Amino acid sequence: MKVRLTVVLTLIVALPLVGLGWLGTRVARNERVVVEQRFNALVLDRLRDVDAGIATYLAQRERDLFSLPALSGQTVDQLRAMARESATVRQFFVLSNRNELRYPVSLELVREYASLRNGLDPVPAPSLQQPPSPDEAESRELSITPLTAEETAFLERTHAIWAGKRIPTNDSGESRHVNISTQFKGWYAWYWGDGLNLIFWWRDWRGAVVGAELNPVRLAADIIGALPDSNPESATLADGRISLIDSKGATIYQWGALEPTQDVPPVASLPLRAPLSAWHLQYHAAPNPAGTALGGGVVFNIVSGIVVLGLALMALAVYYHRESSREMREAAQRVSFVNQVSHELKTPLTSIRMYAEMLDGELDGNDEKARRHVGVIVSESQRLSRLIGNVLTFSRKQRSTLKLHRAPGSVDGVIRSVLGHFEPALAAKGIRCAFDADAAQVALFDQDSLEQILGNLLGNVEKYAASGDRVEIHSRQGDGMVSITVADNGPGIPPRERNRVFMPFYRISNRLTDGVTGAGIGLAIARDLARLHGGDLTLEPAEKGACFRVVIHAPVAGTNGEQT
Amino acid sequence: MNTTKTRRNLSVHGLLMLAAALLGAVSAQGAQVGLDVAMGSDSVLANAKQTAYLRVAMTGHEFRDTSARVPVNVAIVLDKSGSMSGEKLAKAKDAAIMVIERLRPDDIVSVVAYDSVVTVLVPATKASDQAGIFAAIRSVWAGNNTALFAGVSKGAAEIRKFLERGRVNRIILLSDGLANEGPSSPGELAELGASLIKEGVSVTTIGLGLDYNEDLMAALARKSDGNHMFVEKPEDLASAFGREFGNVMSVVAGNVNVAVTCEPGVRPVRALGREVSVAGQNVHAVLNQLYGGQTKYILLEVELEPGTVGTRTPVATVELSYLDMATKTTESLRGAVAVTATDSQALVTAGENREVMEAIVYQISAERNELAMRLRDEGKIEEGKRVLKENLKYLESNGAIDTSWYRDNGSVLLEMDQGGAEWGKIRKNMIKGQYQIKQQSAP
Repeated sequence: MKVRLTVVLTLIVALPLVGLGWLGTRVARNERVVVEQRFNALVLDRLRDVDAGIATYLAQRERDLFSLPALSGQTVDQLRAMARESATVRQFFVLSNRNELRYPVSLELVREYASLRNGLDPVPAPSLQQPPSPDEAESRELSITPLTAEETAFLERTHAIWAGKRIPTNDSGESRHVNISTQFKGWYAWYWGDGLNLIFWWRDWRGAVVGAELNPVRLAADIIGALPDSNPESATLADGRISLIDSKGATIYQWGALEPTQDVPPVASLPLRAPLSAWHLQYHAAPNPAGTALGGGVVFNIVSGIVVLGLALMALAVYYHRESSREMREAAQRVSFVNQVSHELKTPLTSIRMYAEMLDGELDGNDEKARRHVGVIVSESQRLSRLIGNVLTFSRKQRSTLKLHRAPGSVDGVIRSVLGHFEPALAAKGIRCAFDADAAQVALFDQDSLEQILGNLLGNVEKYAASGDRVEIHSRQGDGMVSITVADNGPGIPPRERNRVFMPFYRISNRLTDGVTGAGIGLAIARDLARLHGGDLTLEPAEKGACFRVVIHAPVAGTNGEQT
Repeated sequence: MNTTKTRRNLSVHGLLMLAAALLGAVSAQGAQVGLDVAMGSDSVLANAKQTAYLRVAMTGHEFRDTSARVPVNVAIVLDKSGSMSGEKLAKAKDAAIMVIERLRPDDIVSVVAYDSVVTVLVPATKASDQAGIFAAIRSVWAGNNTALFAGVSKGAAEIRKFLERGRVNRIILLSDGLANEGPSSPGELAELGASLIKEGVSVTTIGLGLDYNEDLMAALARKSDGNHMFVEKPEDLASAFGREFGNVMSVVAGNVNVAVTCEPGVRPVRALGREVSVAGQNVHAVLNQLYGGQTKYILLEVELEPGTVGTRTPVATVELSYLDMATKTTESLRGAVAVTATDSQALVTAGENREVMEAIVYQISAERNELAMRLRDEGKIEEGKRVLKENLKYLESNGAIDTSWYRDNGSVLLEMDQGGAEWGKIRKNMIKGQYQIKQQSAP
């Protein structure tokens, strides 16, 4: 009983908590997904800002180059001086209006062009003394002179571009061609040596296509200079790590407090916009940024909700448990009190009964009134004895000292004796007794216990079935068992109460118990005694009234090893 | 260099020494810079192609007002990679603090520290709030990798905030390890240096310990016309920083452009030591600065067409322009040089310019020293030794027995067989020595 209550209470507390915990986890997980998405969007925005910063740097280079005097109007020496003095440009170049290189140009290259033309439009190889093709107005300013080492290196690097070959512009080997005839300006990226090289070309105001090859090392240095450093206050996302990665996967520059481990993939990755699209930005996040930085509040809310609810439920359970156990305790105290009192009452009551029965025998037959009075004394003292007997039995059971004293006797005899005691009281309430005896064989059983069982059953009839008009008792004997049914035709017991009537201190309802006294332990004790007897007390289905069936193990005396 | 010594020693072929060393050479004198253009010898043999040497020497004159100096714009770039932890970093911080204490309030200073990432500890600022600067420097602790390129790039970005020609713009880079993040080859760092000098920024590189890449550090310094130092022990960092700041504060001229125009019939072949760019007859060189009391030079090897006996042929004209740091004006000087063709070897020898010849000897011996080092790098120890022995003989025959450079070559010869860290140390000293001779930088 107590264990079951504890289990039920535990479940009452635990189930909602588990449910809430599960829901909470789901909510937290969803929240985290949302937060992570938001976080990733934020990271991408930030990376886009970085990309935009780099693009701004390139736009500044464009403006610087536009502000130069028209390159096609410069002499070779001037162009050399410009390249020599420029920190960001490695080499300038000028194309002719046939989009062929006019500066820097080597004799070999000019001859190569001529042979490519396949004699269709023969161009005489220019000499040092003689400026080439007078049909090009601006060509006078540029003449073929011995190349400097820088110019030679430039031609070597860019040879494939001027020879019209397709040049891979990124790692996947894609190639593209710049349409110089329609465009006004553009970037051109190609690979040479250790990495990416950039050319910016444009039409100067004289209409010639000119260009500048950026110094790639300086480009990297300037981009690094423009990007944030790792001072915590100087950059957003400073607790992570943003890296600028080149086409070979090598880190050019990185910033942020986090030192990422090798095998952890980046949270976000963004290729730079053209012409640096072979480079990309990576962001490594600090471990679980969503959980600690943003989702922490949700988890905290859920956990605290569960804790608060759990505490409330536990408080309720404890309150309920205390209330129910207080009732039990009070009832037990009542029994305990009655038990003590019963011990005190037992001896005087026995004397009262004995003397009342003696007095009954001594009265002569004429004094009806006195005889009736004595009869009341006897029956009430019997009832009191039963009550005391129940209480004492209950307390013995509580102390596990209840024992049977089997002795040979007749079950029917015991039933008749008990009926004899009850008949006057039942008759006074208008209840007739009918006994169908069929257990006459002498058997081994505890007469006192059986008397107590029957007394409790009949006592209930007397107490509760007064609206009925009769009680029927049947006894059967066989296979070492004795079965006795006690059936009344009173109000009966509602089906949902059928099990509970056997619980100690249980009363069916106020309606039934109104004006009825008793400790509420009669049926419980009767069943305990029957079970102690190797049988049981059950409530049998009946059309009207209540029908109790007592089965006890009562082997017929004298048969085979049944002497106990 | 000591004049008496050179007079005694530089008799290249042990022949007569006559006066008129500067005959045929033109000297010019500006307020802050002296220009001296001279040939190795005033005379060349006639009737055959001749190889001759032309030296353009520039001497910075110290300011008359000894307390005056040019305001500086310095970025100190410190390595804080894992290998710097402990005493190295502590000494580096002390050294940085010590030199910043010497700055005046109108100087600009910035401090950058790098490991795998770069932290701008002190963004470019006037050196007036020293306490704040020192606190930022002291907050550094050692981290991971060596993003040297990024460190220099950030240092350059800080310098650029206050970039002006009237200041000495200098990055002082300290590293004790191999650059392993971002562009990390000597060629790439050289290119960065070459780009920075165009803005008037020099990088001085201080290699600490035995683990840095001396080729990379020297290349970065050479291309940007900075200094290169090898500091073996952390306790010597303070004096290295001190020396470098001494250099920085003694600058008297900046943006020094030398244009040598060779006359027809004179072909510029190459430059010894300091690098130049050659385009046809035109030779161009840039020095970022001249220090007070120091002479820097450009030494050209030229090929002369055969001349007829007795004719005096102009060889080249030199135009020098520089920014006078005292007056903030751009000054220019001109010089020209000619040779006389003769049929007498004695006259050629007699016409030798001792200072020029000495420069030639030192540059050639530096080249040989470098060759020996490259041979040793390739495992050709014996060949390297042979080159060094020849170099010693060459120096001896030109009378450089007493100099530290001769002793350095001798000790390298003895230790060519060494391997590992010992060789690493020798090599770093070799690079430093070559650097000092080629760039004429103070030791």
